[in-house]
Amino acid sequence: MTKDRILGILSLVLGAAVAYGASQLPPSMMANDVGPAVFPYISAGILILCGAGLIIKKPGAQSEPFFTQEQLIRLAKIAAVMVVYIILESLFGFLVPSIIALFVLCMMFSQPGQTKWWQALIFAVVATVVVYLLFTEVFSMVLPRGSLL
Amino acid sequence: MQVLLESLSILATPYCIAMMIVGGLIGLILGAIPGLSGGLAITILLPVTFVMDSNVAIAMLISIWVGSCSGGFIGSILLGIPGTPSSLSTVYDGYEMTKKGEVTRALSIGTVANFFGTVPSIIIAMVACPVISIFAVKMGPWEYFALGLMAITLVASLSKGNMLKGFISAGIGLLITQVGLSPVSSTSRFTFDNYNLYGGFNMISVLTGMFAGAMILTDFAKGKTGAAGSFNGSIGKFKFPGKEFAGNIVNVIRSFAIGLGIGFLPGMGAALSNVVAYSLAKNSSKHPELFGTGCPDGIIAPEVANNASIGGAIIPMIALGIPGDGTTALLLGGLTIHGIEAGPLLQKNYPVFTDMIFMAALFAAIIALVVEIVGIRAFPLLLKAPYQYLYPAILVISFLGAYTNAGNMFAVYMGLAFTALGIFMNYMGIPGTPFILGYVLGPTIESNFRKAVAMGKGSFAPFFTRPVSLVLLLIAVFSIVSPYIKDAMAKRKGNA
Repeated sequence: MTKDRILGILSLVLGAAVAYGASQLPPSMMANDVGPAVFPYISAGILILCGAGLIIKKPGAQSEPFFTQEQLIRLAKIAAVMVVYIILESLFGFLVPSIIALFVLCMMFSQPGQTKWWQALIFAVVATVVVYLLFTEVFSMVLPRGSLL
Repeated sequence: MQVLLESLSILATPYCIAMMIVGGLIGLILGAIPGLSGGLAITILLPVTFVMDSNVAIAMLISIWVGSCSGGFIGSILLGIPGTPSSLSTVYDGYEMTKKGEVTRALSIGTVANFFGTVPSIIIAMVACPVISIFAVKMGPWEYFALGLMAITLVASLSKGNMLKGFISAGIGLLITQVGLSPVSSTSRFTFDNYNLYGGFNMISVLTGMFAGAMILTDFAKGKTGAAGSFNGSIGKFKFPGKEFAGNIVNVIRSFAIGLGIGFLPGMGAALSNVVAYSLAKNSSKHPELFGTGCPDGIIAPEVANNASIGGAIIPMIALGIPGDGTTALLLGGLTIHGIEAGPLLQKNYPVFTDMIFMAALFAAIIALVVEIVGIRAFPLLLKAPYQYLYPAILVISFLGAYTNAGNMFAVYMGLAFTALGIFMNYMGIPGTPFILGYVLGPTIESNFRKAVAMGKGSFAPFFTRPVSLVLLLIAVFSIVSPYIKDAMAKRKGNA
């Protein structure tokens, strides 16, 4: 099974789901209006047609994998950091979770030996405080407060 | 004239000028750093512009865009790595000149070529937009629908390698816009009874996820987040390359026309115009053998063309409300968030405002020129950007933008979800530009389509009987079928 075929099937399934959802929409109350379902049907049509096209199409030469196994692990790592960061932010607000996230991300993004841990820590604290002051004091915006605080 | 002066007086406040300088600088820097882009700069700063008066906000967004179009050649010349695809062809001769020790000359040529591309193209846009608007106000919803559809199909069908994936991308983009209350009838669609979705997906969540999150996470996974290389030569003072330009007047004019024309067409833009201008300059040169060895003509052609595309892209954006490429689509999205609907009515009802956009673009071009002349020796620093600090900061700030824009964590979760979607699309080789066009134009084409049908008392016929609408729809159909026709013709040739 090539990647394109998998995408074709996913696209087909999504298109079918959208079409079903569209069929459940109520008709418009306005005269001569084609109704709210037409455009979802169009999107569904595009997804179904292109999905079917990808399934039928002769698979080309297998291209290089987009992510190698090692790269997938790196992706999983940084995705996990972002998910944990967002969860912590929703619980504890902007300040502390952002310091932690910036520190961890900074260490992850540096080349080996490029950044010492205390440099990353200083960066994390300074950047968080600057952003915090800029958004709250200069732009008078409300930042996440955290549901537990 | 009155209008022009009025628009100038809006911009000429210290606050507005300061914001334009900040925007221009950020655009220039992010445009120059390989891997980052003007689109990313717009995504990060968009939420911040909400606290500003909309005039200032728009002026700043325009400055970011123009600045980001001007910094790409720095990487091309110093490292042989273009900062943006718009400066791809600049590598061939720019980097060769650097190797020959003529780095100062190459940078000076690039700086001036950019300016010669930007300024006249904006002036042309300024003259052309009101004229186009006079015709465009006569367009009904039929034509608007057809125009939007054409823009999307052109972009999707031009998707590199795989048209089907281009259309899947556009289809997903359209689908995203259908979540929330529908236009015209205000029916709630695909909200799954979640009140956070009644207003549709927050635009900042979508942009943050698709453009900042997905890009940075993918780059990290691929280990492409280190410095691209380093430049160890020395750069002298800017020297006006009068002699080089005097010998290249035809080249400048030709490249300018190419850039303007390609920028005007939806789906292409600076990424293509620089390549076309370079190859035409080479083919029509008296000394084509010098191209690729460090010839000034080879820097002038792509750098005039890519910046002339700014004016070319501004015309359909302002006069018709149709973006030409991904970055202008982002910009148009930014205008929408600020409550501004680009199109012929904008020109008619708020001429001061549209002139202000042009003035801001001109001002940004001047900022870019001055910064590049004064800061020429600091260019290598840009390429030594501390990625380990930049990327984390961009991630945190862009997700924070989703929060400040919507005022709830739901928008941030959605930002994560769109990051996942963006990574999935990267993984599957689905191009991003058709998505953003479908996403930005989706509501416009839907409401115009439904208005058109209602105005035609339920009939679809006017789409095909109104000449302009018919032509636009035919172009859309042609853009879809032409690759297949080409294929079939090539096969027949092969068999014969």
